[in-house]
Amino acid sequence: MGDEIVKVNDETRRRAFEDLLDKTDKKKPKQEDVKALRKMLRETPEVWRIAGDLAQQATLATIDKIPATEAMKSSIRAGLNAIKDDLGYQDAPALEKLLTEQVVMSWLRMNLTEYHYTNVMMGKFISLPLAGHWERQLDAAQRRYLRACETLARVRKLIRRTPALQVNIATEGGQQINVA
Amino acid sequence: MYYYRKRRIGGRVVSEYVGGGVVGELAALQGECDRFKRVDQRKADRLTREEMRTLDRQVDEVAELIRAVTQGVLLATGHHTHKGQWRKRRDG
Repeated sequence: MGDEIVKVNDETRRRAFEDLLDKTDKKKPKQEDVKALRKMLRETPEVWRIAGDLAQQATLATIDKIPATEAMKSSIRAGLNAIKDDLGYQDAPALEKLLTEQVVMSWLRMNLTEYHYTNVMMGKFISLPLAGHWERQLDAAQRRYLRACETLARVRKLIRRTPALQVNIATEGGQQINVA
Repeated sequence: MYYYRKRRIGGRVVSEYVGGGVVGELAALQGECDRFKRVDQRKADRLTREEMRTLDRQVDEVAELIRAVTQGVLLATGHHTHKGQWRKRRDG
């Protein structure tokens, strides 16, 4: 895992990727730039696994911070899997899977913030700056969650309108997976 | 022994006489106890806020990575942004 993160964080590769994003984000990009971007996505399959792994790690770290018993945490994990299933995670292409992970991660984060906010508001010693802090945190968490849902919905709509255009990314074992 | 309690009224701190003797001692003990609880609570709040900040950083880092990958896939599949909105290229 450590080596993989080094690969993704590799500044040169990252800059090249961002450069390609800039070049192709135009009404009429050069075909060679689009091809280069596709090639780059194909040739860095670890980015998918790492992004997915990091999302799952962030979700697990959030669950760890919930002041609850282990049984309760297990039931939260099961609940999250049920939400993922409801969002069609199992049969979704790789990109939608990533975006679903993000929705789950931000939903959990929002709920944890809500928990702290409620605790502060119900506490014996309410300090106004503290209450204000949690209110702003809750506001930001709600915005993050809504943005994640919107992105998933928008990408689904865009990708499903263009089923013929698919990028196949080779996984480590040589198997091809649909990302969009 | 006399016990006075400090209270904040409309931004002003006023001293309030609570009592003397046993009543004063009990009130002083209660006041001390409340002070400890407040300090403990402040410590716990600070820790929670630090933990949440760490989580936020982690979540933001993942979100940024996912955003870049999403942008890459959409561009590679014939989309572009127009006034901040993703659109399908006519010839894409």
